[in-house]
Amino acid sequence: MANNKKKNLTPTQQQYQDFQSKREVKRPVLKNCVKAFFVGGTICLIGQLIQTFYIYNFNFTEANAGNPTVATMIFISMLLTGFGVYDHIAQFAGAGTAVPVTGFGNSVIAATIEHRSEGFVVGVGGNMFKLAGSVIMTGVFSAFVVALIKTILVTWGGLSW
Amino acid sequence: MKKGIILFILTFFLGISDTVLSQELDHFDQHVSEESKKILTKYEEVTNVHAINDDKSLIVAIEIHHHDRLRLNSLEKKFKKEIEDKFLGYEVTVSLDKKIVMETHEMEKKIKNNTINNKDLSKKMKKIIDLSNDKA
Repeated sequence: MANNKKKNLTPTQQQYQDFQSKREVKRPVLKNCVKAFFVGGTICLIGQLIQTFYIYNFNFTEANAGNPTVATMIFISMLLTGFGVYDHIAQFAGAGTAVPVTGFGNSVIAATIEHRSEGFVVGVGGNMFKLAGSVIMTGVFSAFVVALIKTILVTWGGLSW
Repeated sequence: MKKGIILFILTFFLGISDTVLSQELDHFDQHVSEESKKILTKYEEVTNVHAINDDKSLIVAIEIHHHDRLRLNSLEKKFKKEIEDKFLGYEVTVSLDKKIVMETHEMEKKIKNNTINNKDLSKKMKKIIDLSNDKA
C-alpha cells in the first residue's frame, strides 16, 4: 500500500518526501527507555518501602504483604490521577508509569474522568473498566488456565502442591 | 495536672517491671533451639539463625545471603527436612520469612531477659506458626 502510494507520486512529491524524512525529528528511543527505567524503578522502590512498612508495623509476612501493598499503590495512583499529577509524570516517563500496577489505577480513573459528563451510571459506571477491563480479564483468565494446568499436573503428573 | 499524669504513668510502668522481675520464671529447656542453630550455621548460605522452642514445637527462623534468596523455596525445604529428621518429637516450623525472623528474634530476646513465662511463650509461638502458614 505504502509502496503503491510512493510509486504514484510525482517526482517533485517524492523529492519532497525524501527531504522531509531526512529532517524529521527522530524518536529518542534510548532516552525514553532510560526515563522509563528510572521512573518505573522509583515507583517500585516506593512499593518496596510500603511493603516493608506493612511487614514491620502490621501482621503481614513477606508472603502476603504484597496484597495491601498493591492496593495502596493503586489507591495512591488513583488519587494522583484525580489531582492531575500522574498525567505529568506519565508524559515524562511513558511506559515507566504504565507498566507498574500504578498504571492500572491510572487507566481506571482516566476513563472515569473522561466519561464523567455522560452521567454516573452510563458514563462513569459503564466506562470505568473500558481500559482496565482487559487487564482484569487477562489476569483472571490466565490464573484460571495456570490453575487448570497445575491441577492436571498434580492429579496425573505426580507433582506436589 | 500534667505532672500528676506523668507520675501516675511512671509508677504504673515501674509497678509492671517490678512484678515481672520479681516473678521466678521457669523456662522450657532451650537446648533444642541451640542445637538446631548449631546445625544450620554450618551452611554457607546462612548468615543468622534464630530459634525458639516449647515442649512440643520448634520454630527456626533463618536469615540467608541476599543472592541466595533466589533459591528461597528449595533452601527452606532442605533446612526443614534436616531439622525435622534431627528432632523427631517436635512439630518443626522452618521459615526464611523476614516477619518470622523478626518475631522469633524478639521472643529469643525475651527468653534471654527472662521477661516471658511458659504460657505466654507457647501462645506467642502458636501465633507465629499460624502466621508462617498463612499464605493468602
